[in-house]
Amino acid sequence: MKDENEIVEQMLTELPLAPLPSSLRERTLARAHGQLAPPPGAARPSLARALPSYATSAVLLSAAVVFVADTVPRISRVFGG
Amino acid sequence: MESDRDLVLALRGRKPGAFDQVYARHGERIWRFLARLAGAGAEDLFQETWLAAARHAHRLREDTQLLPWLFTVARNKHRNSLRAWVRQSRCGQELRAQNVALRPLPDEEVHAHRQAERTQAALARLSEAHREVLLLCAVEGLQTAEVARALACSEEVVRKRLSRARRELARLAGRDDFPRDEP
Repeated sequence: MKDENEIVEQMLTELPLAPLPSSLRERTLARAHGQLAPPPGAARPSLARALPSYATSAVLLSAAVVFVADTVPRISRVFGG
Repeated sequence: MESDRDLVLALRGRKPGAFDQVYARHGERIWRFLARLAGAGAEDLFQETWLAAARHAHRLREDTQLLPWLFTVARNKHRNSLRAWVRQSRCGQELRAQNVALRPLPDEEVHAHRQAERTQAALARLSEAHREVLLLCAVEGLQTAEVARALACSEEVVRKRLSRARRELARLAGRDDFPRDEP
């Protein structure tokens, strides 16, 4: 005669069960990737990624210097130079 | 193939690909557990479980046992969803009504191929505590110590709960070949 453990195990393992749907498997993994902490060092922007912003700043600063250098003498001439 | 312990270390170190390995190794088991524990709500719980696992993966302790930890996360997600559902259904009136509605099948419908349905219905009528311990021990084959860790209780509690759960399941499923209690 089977013991109670064997009977219950058999009852439970005979239960039908749908396999994990592949769409759910892929969707879940894709979403989980978005929750993972970034690898060490990845949070700091690399020089290559930062370069465009440095270049933009340099261009804007140069434009400001040229503007001031051009405008100040004109104003001083108008007001008595 | 890396051991679970190696994978825990890789997760802690945020090693690329570590999470994918954990998912490939344990995804099916977590799905099976949730599908039997929660039925129709298993898809949402499955996603929530793995999203939470991804969020916390880098904060695991070195001595974490991966599979029991994942079962704990899945079980907590299920419990939280049940609490929310019970709150919404005003003090669990619908839950009690559902349990009453799940009566054993009449004798004339009992055939061999219906036994699985009866077991499924019986499993659905078990208390959460009994269903969890049965699925983890009898289906997933976890050791008593691992189940105790997953359920946050002592091994003695697991053994007693498992024994009661087996008897309750057999009773609800109408099994007459189950050993009787000693007087």
